Amino acid sequence: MDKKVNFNKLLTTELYLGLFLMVILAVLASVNKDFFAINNVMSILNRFSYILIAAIGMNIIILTSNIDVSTGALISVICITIAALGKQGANIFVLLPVAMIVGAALSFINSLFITKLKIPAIVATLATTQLFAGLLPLVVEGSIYDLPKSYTWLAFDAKLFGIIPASVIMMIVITISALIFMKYSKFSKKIYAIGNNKYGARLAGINVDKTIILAYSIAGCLFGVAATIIATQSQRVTTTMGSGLEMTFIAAVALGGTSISGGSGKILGTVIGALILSIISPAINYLGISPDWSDAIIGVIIIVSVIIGATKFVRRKKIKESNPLKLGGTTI
Amino acid sequence: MEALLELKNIVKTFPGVIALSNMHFNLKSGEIHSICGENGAGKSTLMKVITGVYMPNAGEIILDGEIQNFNNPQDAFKKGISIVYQETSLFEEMTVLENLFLCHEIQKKVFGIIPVIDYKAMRLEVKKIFDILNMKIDPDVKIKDLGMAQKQMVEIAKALTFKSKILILDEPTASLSQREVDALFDVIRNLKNKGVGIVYISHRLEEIFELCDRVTVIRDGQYVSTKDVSQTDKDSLVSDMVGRSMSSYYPKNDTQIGEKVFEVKGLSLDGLLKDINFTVNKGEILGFSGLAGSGRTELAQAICGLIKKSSGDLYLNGEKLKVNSYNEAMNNGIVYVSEDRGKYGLVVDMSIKHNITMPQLKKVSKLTFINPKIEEKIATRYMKDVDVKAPDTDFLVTNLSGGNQQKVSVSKALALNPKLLILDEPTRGVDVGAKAEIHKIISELTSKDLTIIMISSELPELLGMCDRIYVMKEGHIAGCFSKEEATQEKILKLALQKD
Repeated sequence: MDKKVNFNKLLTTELYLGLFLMVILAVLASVNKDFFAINNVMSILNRFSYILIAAIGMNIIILTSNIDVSTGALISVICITIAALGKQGANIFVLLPVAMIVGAALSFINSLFITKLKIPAIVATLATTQLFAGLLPLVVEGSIYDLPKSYTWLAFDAKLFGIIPASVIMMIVITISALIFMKYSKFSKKIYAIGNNKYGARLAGINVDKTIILAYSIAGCLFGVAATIIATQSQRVTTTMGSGLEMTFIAAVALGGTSISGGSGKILGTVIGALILSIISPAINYLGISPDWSDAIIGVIIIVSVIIGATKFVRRKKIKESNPLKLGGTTI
Repeated sequence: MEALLELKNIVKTFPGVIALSNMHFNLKSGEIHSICGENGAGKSTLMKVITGVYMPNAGEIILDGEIQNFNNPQDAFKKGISIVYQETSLFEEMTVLENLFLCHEIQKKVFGIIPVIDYKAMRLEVKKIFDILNMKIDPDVKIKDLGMAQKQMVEIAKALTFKSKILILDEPTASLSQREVDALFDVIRNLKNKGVGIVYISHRLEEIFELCDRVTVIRDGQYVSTKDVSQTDKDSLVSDMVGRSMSSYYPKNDTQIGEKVFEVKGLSLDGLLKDINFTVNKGEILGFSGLAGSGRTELAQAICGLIKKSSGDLYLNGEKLKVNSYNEAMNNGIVYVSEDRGKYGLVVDMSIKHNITMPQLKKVSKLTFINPKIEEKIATRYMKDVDVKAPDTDFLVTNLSGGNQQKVSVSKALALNPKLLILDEPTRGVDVGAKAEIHKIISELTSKDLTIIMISSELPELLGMCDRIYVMKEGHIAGCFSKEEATQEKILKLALQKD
């Protein structure tokens, strides 16, 4: 019995996804070795970096049983803000903190609508999407261009050993911090508790509103970091840099096995989810399939992974129902 | 000795209901104080006032000689008041360990500054607690993988992880075995000796006499008495709990009771109901009494096909019925009126008319389109039948009083022309005047050859209305009383008695 339980414990969503990832990589290795050319890998890693950093933020929000569909527009606002500063010659040590503060502030506004005004998260963030995206063209005409070298330093010059992009280093630091934070911080337990049972969390003495506001603010900081990576990639920043990205982030979180209704899900899953999503499009290219297919294929992958997660759940439940008294240890 | 916690003249009202009025309670440190009362007497509300979930409308909460104003559960929690709830308040997707220490995790400092959760220390602590309670649960298992009794034990273990001054236990033994109960009692006595003040709520009177020092009885949201356990006995407790004199305003018509109409044989439902057998006669009102959680609602829902029964047969007029869904039950003339009209009974944002005709849209439509004339006709007729007080059938249900909403629920059921009507708590959350009206309506219905099963937590209501009363306990029928022999004391005693 013990062995079986351990075996079941290993069959996590992360394992399935990891195996799937291995399969993709193996296929790519056998079909087209160019995929693993150092430049291509680094470009994929760069994309992976900002998707993962933002997806970790999104994961924290979704764990509280909320959502943020304004992330794309929010990132656009941050991009324009730091581009305006970059035009004045500000360097990364100014740009990054500003991006994080602006991200946290905008996300904080979202959370106020959700907690204090009790607007459902999806409605509140849909409204702020319109607000953020709608205000930008009023302030900036199309784009900010001819940005100086000091502005694009992060993307073009900041490389460890002359090869590993700084964005990858940031991603690794943030991911490891998030893994530790979600396991060892008191705050993370509150997040999980709220996602599981908001009313119960209140009875347990958790300040639900405060926790949700903090969760959004932390996520906002991470969106700021992601936006900095996105915005500094070129000398021209448009008002729609982040449009549609929120769906990629939400997809990475969902693919990683986090329940959209909140309360369950791990950072590790989000890491693999984000990696799969960042590999699929280039992989399709290298496999010689038309890039038009990439969105559809991503859709299929998400559906299949959710179904696998669901059948796993059904099987567990069946075991439990057939054997209600024997699981665990104490008998009635 | 000075009181650790004192409540003075606590009043708590909800819209339309006075839940607590002039409530008194005091708790000394190092005592186990029981609170007794029938279902709905206000015990849970009182506990929620103490723990800061509800704010009282008036009155004082005095802790250690200081007046407290708890705005939320955190406030009470920080002052050392913790509670184990009757309904488990565990977090399904989290592990046992995470649940036990939620919000008071043991932490250690990394590099002397960064606080991190110390899983090792928590595991050690949990092992100690589990040893005391004789529990063998893997602390890293998720709550959703545990059985009901195990969850209850985790709840209790959780209470022991608090270092609180006041510990409230609300029905902690409801799903425990005797061995686990004994272990729990040892732990409670141990805490008492350490000076913790314990509030112990239980329906099992034996436990109160075995464990507690004092007992406070409350009834209908009001304080009745506080006595030393050694100075009282079961009978006087029960009579304090019942208290009310039987009022005569239950206008039960004397109807001719005919032959057997409906019969349930050997109905069982895994873990909830055990071998239920009973019969209902034509024109009879059959009552079901029992404590909350004794399986009354589950029985009603199993009869109606709302939950799947594991075994058992139903007979209507001698014919065996096949009921696997509520639709089949309705087609056979069995209609259920839920105890929770807001959640299951009515769509409050729709009109009276639409609520009444909702279960039978086919009947009110022609060629798949709803015919407003037929709809209006049916709605008007049944609205009049039960005397719903509203200007017209287009009036929104949400704007009606509780009593009138309940009448809409009943008229919706009647519009289906039932042979057997099951009413679950028909007068819950309804004021006294409307209550009497609903009783009158129910009584009149039996004169029209309708057979009624009525589930109620209010004994006077059952005694006044029913021809026979079945008493349920822990999923089986513990006994049956006829109208003549039934008294509140007899029923309550049977419902509370230990097997």
